[in-house]
Amino acid sequence: MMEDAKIVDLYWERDEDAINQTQIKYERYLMKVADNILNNTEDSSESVNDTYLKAWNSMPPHRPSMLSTFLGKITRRVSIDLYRKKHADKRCGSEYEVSLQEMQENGIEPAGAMENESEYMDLGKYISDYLKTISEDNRNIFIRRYFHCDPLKDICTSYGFSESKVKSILFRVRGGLKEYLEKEGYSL
Amino acid sequence: MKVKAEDISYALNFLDDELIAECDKAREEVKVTSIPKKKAKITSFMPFIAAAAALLLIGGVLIAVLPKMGSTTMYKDSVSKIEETAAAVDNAVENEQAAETVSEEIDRNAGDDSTSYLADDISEMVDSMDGELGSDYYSATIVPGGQVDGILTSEVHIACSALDDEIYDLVTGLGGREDIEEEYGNTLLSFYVEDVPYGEAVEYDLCEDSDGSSYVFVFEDDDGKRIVPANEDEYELLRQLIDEQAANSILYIYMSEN
Repeated sequence: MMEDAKIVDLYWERDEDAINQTQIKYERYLMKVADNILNNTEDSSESVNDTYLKAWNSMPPHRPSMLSTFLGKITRRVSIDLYRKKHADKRCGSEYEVSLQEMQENGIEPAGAMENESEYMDLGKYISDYLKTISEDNRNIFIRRYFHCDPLKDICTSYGFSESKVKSILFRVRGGLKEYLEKEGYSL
Repeated sequence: MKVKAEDISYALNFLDDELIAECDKAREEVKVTSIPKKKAKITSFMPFIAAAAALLLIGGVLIAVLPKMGSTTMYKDSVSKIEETAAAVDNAVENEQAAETVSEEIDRNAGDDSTSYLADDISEMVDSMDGELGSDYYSATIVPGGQVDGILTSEVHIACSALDDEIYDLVTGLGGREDIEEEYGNTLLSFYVEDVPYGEAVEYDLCEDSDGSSYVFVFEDDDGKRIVPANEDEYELLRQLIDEQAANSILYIYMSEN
């Protein structure tokens, strides 16, 4: 499989093989990211195809140093937008949906309140700052559950932890995050 | 500024790339370490197929010879054994083919950053594989399982007779302990106890403080709630009880047998 830097070069050269190589290397990963949010193969394919288009339109000017993360973030954002559009009033049973419900266990209300991108960017920065203060395992478990929306069972298997242990870790990290954000002036 | 769950989730799109990359790397490492285990199993499987094939060959010779010896019973026994052997060989070959397919799938993805997941058809193949080989793949953490609800919705009911003496004494004794002054910490797990000697229904939440100390948060009857101490061993014992008896469920323990 082609190295990430070479794939990025192809985008910059406006060579359409960039998309083929991205597909070969990352399609399964991106489909998983999308499907954890949308729980629907057709919608996930649509989301991944949109990702390729957005990647094509954003390179240049962007030259991501971590192509997988760059693409994963695009897919995640596109998938959440599609989820919001399609499931405003009905549930689809995806891991994304379940992960939002989990936050309610810490008294965090479900629906969104923010409106513009800069607010999300600021919040993302504070979340990153908080995650850097906790242990690597706890941080990775949190990211797997709430960024990748990985099923709990997969996380448990990876770490050899019981479900109750993973749930308790997530509960504590969410609680800590809530406290941290409140100290930074947010109201949850 | 007001923040809700969807905001937090959406804001994760702006997490530092390094944090996500570190997480992806850790996820990859789990997968990579599992590969040698299954390869060893595939290798060890080959002698069994060879031995089974040899038995089949010997069996074939016996079929040809035994009828001429006029021993009907021996003949039937031998046919039965040969049929069993043939079935074992078929099974072994099917498993071997499945194993090869899975192995190729894993190898194909070995250098890929996105290889935590196998296609559904491959996952199904692994699930359907018989015996040790199949279970070994399954435990190799390569194949994702089904979706799991993040919220406890199912219930498990057990009678006190299912508890061993040590846990029985602990569970029935908790509510009788003197309160401690403790700030409410993180609730990790909870379970209900019915018909305990000092009340009718009690909810116990196992709690852990930020300093690692453990205690039990007790909800008694309608509105009574208080905190009683539990040492680390007791806490672990209760946690294990919940893990073993009711992972992902609410555990109810009935002290009376009816």
